[in-house]
Amino acid sequence: MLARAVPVVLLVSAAVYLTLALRLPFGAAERPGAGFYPVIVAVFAIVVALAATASAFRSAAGAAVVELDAASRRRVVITVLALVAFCLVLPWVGYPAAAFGFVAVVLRSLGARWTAALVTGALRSAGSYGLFAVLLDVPLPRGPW
Amino acid sequence: MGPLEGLAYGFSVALLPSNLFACFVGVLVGTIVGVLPGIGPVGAMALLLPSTFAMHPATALIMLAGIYYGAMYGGSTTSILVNVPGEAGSVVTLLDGYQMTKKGRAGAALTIAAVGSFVAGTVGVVGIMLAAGWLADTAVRFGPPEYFAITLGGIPLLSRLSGGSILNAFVMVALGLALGTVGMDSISALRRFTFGSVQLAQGIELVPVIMGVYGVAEVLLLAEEGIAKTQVASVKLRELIPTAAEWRRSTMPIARGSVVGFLTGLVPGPAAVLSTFISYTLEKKVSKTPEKFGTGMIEGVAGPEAANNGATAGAMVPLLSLGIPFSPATAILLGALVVHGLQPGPLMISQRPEVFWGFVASMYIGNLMLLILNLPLVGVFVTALAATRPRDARADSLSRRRLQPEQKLPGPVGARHLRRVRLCLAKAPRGPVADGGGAGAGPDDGEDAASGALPDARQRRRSRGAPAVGDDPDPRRRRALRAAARPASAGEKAHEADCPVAFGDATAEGPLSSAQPPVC
Repeated sequence: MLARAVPVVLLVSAAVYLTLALRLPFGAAERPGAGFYPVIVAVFAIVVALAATASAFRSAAGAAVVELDAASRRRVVITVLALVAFCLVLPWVGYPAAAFGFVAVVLRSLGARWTAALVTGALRSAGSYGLFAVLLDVPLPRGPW
Repeated sequence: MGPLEGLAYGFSVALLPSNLFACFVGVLVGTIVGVLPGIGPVGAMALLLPSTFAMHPATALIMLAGIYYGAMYGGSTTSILVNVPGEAGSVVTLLDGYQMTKKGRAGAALTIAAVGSFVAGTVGVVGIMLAAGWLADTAVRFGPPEYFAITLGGIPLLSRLSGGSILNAFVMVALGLALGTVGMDSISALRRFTFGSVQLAQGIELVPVIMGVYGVAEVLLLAEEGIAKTQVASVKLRELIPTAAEWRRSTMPIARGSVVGFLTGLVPGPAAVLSTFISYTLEKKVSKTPEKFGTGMIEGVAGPEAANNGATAGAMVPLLSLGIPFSPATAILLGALVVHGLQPGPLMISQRPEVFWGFVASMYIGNLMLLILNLPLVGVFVTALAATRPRDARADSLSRRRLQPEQKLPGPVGARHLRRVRLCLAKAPRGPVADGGGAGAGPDDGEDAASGALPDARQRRRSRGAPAVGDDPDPRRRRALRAAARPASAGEKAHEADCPVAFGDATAEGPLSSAQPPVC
């Protein structure tokens, strides 16, 4: 199912991309407009997405997709949620707190003890903030404190 | 600037304290990444790319390249000691490397692997000096038609980087090209596909894409597989010295592996992996006792280990001289240079000689550092190895399966040949790894070979997903390979009785006894 859905989604995306590209000035071969190159890319994308879709539907069972067991799925879901949460709270709570929370939660989900997860999270957060923000002057959000 | 003059200038750049430090950090991280099966060199380079922002371009390139070729050294440690490849380029090494460990010759295998890697790395750097300069001199005469032809030719080459379905790869190429059109048009300054966002007007930056595609993917794969402790064979310092016979038998395989690896690196595709399979098959072809391969032949370690390092050096030639990356790792190096405002290509050698020659010279120094890191300090990495390893049951069963390349030596080397490299998966015992195995342990101890076959249906699945190696840096390929390795259905099992291929099926619990690698 998933093996067939992916090329279909890409095909639809390519069609939408072509629609948007056609709204841009096309120009001519000797004076290409802003839409010239995107239209060519869109046509190429539609052709290959069509071929991929046809290939996916032609094969009887579709490509083999790995079924994750419950524990693996749980770990992946927690990691994805933690990553999304990290991105969302980063501007509000700052990098040190967000990184601490992210590392601690992911390590815990991977099977580490709470103590180890919290200590590693604190060290990792402080270490990376020190390296990037202090030593390399990369502007990272500090948060309200 | 001639090669020798350029190299002298390069050493003056590479020996600057900051560049020496970057080289050390790069090869150290690379070795650790190679030793630990959890993350590949591509993912590590992607994750560390932002840390190079504040560096000089030459320093950044030196550090990131150090990770790439350093991983080739470190990857052999796990293959030899634990029977689990640290990264994809070391898959073949486990065939004979681990058998040597069981015979108590782990130290010799590690030394030969490190020396072979050093020799091949050094030969490869000489190749870069000669080939890259010549290619760049030719490419300087290129005009717009030639560049257009290179760009057009580069698109199908890009589609071969994945090593999987060409069609899916072309879809991804189209997606990448489409993402590249987001932002301000360079000719008319018109905003394209920005939906009113000021941030998108600058386009989609390379670093977030690389971080997402490689870095986050690695993190998710690690989350999927989990972490578990493992048992590692211990190696004492005095055991690291190979015998005179082992040195003698390794000389030619290292020489052949260096050349094969470098030439494979010049061709698009996953060269580091492909070169090891070619080298192993070549050594088997030229050997007077090919039937002994897989039982602990030093040639089976020396050749492939030299080849994967030669390939990393060879892959730098098209990157530095033409600005075309032939592998995901070199694509990240290209990205790092672009991020620093450089455009790799024929003009880089003349316009930014400190970057090109500094990088070339740093590879000499890096290879020397790696030799030191990987021999006297192998015990440190062995300790690190004991900490983590994927614990997923299917990944575990896969990583313990024996992998054997097809006996036919591929003709002209190309990415498509990766899919021809058929792997025979032999069921391996599940017991803990033995410490050394003792000198008396023979290659056939505990062997319990059973007839069987790689079922046709599984072969078809494998060729569709094109997973050629067990611990590929590409998570999708690893996943596809695990799918291929899942238990056969009743229909598939029916094929097994008819197929003439035999593979081992050791069932002993406890310390790993052997399973004769399969004859494909």
